[in-house]
Amino acid sequence: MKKRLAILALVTMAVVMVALQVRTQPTAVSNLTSASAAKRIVAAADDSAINSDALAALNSMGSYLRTLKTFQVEAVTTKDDVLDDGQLIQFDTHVNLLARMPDRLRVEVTSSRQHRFYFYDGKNFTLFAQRVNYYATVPAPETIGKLADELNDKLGIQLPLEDLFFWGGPRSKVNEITGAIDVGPAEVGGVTCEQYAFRQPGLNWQIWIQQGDFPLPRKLVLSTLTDEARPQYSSVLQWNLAPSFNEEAFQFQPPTDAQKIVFAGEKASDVAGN
Amino acid sequence: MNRTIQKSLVALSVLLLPFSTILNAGPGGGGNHSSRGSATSSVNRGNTSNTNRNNNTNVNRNTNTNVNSNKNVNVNANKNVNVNVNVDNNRGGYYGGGYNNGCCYHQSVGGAVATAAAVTATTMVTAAVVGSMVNTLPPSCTSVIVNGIAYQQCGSTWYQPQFSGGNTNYVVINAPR
Repeated sequence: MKKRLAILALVTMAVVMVALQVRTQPTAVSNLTSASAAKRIVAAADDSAINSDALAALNSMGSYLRTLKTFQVEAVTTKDDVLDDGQLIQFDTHVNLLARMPDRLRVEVTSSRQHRFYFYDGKNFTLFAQRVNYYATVPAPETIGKLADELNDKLGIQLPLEDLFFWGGPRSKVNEITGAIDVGPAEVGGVTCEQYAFRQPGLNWQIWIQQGDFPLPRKLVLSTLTDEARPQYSSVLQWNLAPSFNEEAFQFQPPTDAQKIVFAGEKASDVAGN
Repeated sequence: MNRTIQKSLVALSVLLLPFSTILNAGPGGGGNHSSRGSATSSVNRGNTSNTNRNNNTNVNRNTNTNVNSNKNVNVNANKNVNVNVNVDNNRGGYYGGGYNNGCCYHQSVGGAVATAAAVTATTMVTAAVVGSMVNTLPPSCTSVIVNGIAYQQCGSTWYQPQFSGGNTNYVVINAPR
């Protein structure tokens, strides 16, 4: 009888121990999970911090851009439109930009829907829509940077690749950056670059900066965070730092059959006359 | 360099002329897709929500349905007139039968005329509201230059072409002259 009781007690203990083990196992697992989650959170916190090398690279690119007197950039850009239901529609554009700092600019924008020219000769800005053969001209401020702001604020037109004129200058928003990562080396169009990722309010963006003595932006990807669909803009840039041109490249000569129109908000009577 | 650019400009404009016609005609099919915004394309512009001002890619052109129904009425009236001619010629029993039901013949002609008149009265062209904006012009417009500025006259309605944001659209205006 005693022997039976002892066996029963042993069995009971074994069952209890197994049960305990079963109960403790998940606890151990969940402990592990929360530990790794904590590690990940720490890592994420590191990511969103500002890598000083990344920020320095962005600043030296800006400084370098501001030393350029003339340049030509050919860029292939993509831009997402967000439909009302959140679906993304991507549009491709080819941009050919010629700039002579600080006050001459010619931009040709070609897409499957539009063929546009922007002329800025330091005095006037003309937008020429070749397919519909319309153009409109307004007086322009004294620098390309101011022109970009005026076009945006008054006419609702964004100058293509306008960042090229803002980095390294007072209009740069580098101070708004809340996160900076040095992703590592990456090639863009056969050019070795360093890839960086930045965060700022409403925007996550990446830039590929050419390595070496000419720290030029070679690629950009912007993800807009203010729309839950997160539409993207991207551009891949090819640079020519010794373009050939003359003064008339920046002046608009209307084709004989082109027609003058107005910018929205302008009064026709204000621009009429010639 | 300038010459080259000018030449290529002219060459391009010639090349693209057919496209402009196609564009003006408007793409067929599809529907109206309106977008709520687009991707930000500048990191130094601040947090601008790039709302599209002109986002309808496929504009459905409204054909005037009133005119169409009017056409149908005219066809009916013509048929009746043909019957009338046949009756005058008095060709045989087949038509005689129709004639014998003369009440109907007269009634139908009268009815048709009355209908046509009524429909004609409803085909009054509704004038577009001044200040309203369209992405595509209605058919049959004429380009008119007034004081160096281009306008589009479409029947009695005048449109002011304009660059609105990155796009071209047309605002209904009072006649500029």
